[in-house]
Amino acid sequence: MFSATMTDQKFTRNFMISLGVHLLLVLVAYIAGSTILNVLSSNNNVEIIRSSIRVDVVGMPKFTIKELKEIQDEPIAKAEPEVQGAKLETTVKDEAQDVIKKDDLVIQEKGTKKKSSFMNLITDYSSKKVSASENKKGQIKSSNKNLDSLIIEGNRLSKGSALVGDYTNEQTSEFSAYVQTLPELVRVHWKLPTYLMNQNLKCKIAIYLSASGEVVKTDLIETSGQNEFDARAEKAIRDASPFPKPEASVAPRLANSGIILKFPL
Amino acid sequence: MKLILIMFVLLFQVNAFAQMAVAEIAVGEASVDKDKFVIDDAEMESLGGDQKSLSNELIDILRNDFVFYKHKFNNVDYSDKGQASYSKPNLTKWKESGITYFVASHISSSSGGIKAEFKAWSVLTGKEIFTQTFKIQRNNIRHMGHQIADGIYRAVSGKTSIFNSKIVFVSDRGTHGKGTVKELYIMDFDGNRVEKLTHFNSVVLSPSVAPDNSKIMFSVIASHKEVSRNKVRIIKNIDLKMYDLKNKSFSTISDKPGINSGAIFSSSGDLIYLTLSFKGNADIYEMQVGSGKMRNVTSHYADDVDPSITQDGSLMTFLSNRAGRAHIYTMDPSHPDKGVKRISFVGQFNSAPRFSPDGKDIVFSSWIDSGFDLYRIAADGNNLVRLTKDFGSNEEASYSLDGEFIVFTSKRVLSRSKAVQDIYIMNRDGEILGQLTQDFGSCYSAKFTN
Repeated sequence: MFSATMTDQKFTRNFMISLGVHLLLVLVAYIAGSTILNVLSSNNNVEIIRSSIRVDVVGMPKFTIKELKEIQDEPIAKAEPEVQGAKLETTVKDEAQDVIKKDDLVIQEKGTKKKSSFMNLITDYSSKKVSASENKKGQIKSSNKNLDSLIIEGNRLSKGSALVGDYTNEQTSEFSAYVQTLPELVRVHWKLPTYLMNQNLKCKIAIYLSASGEVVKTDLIETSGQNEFDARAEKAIRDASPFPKPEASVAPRLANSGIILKFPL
Repeated sequence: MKLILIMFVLLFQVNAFAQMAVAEIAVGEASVDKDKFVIDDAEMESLGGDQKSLSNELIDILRNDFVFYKHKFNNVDYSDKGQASYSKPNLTKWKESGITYFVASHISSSSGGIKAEFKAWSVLTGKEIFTQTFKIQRNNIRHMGHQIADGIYRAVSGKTSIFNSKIVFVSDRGTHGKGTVKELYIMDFDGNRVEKLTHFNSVVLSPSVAPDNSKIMFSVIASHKEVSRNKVRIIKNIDLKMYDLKNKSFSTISDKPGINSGAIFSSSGDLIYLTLSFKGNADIYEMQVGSGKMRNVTSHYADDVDPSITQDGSLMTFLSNRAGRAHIYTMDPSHPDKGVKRISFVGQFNSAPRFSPDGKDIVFSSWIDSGFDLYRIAADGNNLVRLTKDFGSNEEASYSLDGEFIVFTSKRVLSRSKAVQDIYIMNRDGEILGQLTQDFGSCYSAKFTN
């Protein structure tokens, strides 16, 4: 009897140890595997931030190409990353402004914003009375305004509804907001002579920024094969420097990991 | 156990570091950094008064030609007078001034005119990219000036310019009294050297130029005699005719009852596409130039008119009211009604769709508010953009061979009973470059030669 009890206890203890070791091994294998994959596939470890331009055509365009270019050529003066505490207010304010910016990007934040697709605009529009009683008056109003604008004016640059990635992290969101401001600031200086235009040339340059927004280092990651093209791209970056001062929370990432600017796309 | 724990912590740290993503973002397309271009005053050697004036006129023609490409070149108004720029060009000085191309000339006396030697340099590379000698007289100075400018442009860009192109158009300046008279004219791309080609004393419509520039096809309201019950009646009909620019002779291509108009050449020149209405409603047909053999390209109960075709002949655009209003369609013209696709869905009344030479874009006019304006749309129906605004009523656009320019007619109402319609030129993005006709009656249907 005594011997049987001892055997059961021994078995239970050994079973628990074995289970623990196996679980640990599985966890180690998982972490090791994902680490190796991350290290090996360094090319995939790139967060691509896309700018979106959406042109909705529901009537003949009112603006000429020249007028649209003038609108697009207005650079953003200063980067204003989204701040968690003032999120709703900022969103409402931005949408109510109805300013047309070429590289507007709508960032989806889980649980705080819903995808701003055309269908959602339609839904908001149709449920105007119900939604008006909720505490999102400004947001609903601006959605309706967007739809009104689309229907009445047509072919204009809208804010775009392309969503890239899951920006659940405040820091990531601030980082993305900052990075989005860079193309417009660089594009002002991004010029090519006629003989280099329409040659389908491309290059990638990594830039590293100081805490004050100055370019401290550039690395040519991918050459176009034309020195002049690469040099012009780098010159555009240098001429655009200093960039707006980044938030303290994203400055280390800008300094250490840098940002890859793609010329042109 | 300790070892396992250490490994575990290390792996977590490495993993966290590896997941620190590098952000990539596209800057977008570059804008053009215009080349700075200097066409220097000519070095003159022993020239008389008239020869000096001829030389100055020649340089002015060259400078004016390059102004048309101001979206590519900044013409720098800088003279290197007295510095022997042709024989000893100071390229270092030009480079310091940011000049990219430099053109110099040496002009001497020649029997009946002048001998002009031209050279062009790429200042950046220091290489001579153009050198040629021309004999110029008073009667050929504009023609030769455009040829020299074209040669320099080719050397700089590797492409053909519009400098040797001409524009055919219709004008009613011959109208006297009640009956409207519209005849066919041809002029240089810059509006100079206008020449009258037809004397029908009738109404000429929608000219089109053969790919080799040897012939012009157009419609004309012609009078036909019809004998019925021993009575002779005069019937008016829109016939299609061809003018041979070399022989200066006319021939009738099609005089079927009804409309024979809107004809265009295929890029090979052996086929034409035209609108015929002899069956009752207007359809587009393909006709072999030599034999006159025809086949339907469209066959729809609605009216299909105004064809335009890509260089490779794979895509045709046309206007049709099959949706109730005049809208733009594309199709494969190889078989009747093959792949018909509507590409315009807006606009109260759209008209005259014309392909760009590369076949990627279509320019057309559309009625908006109280007049027509010009728009551009991609051949697949995307990227609808507006080209003109607050500039009169703009119609009948047509691309230049290099696709860089568009000629069009613009109408301005002066009073209740008076309006003027002239031909203008703009670049492909809608920047108006200038007015090509003035005090020349009302002008219509401008088309570039090839």
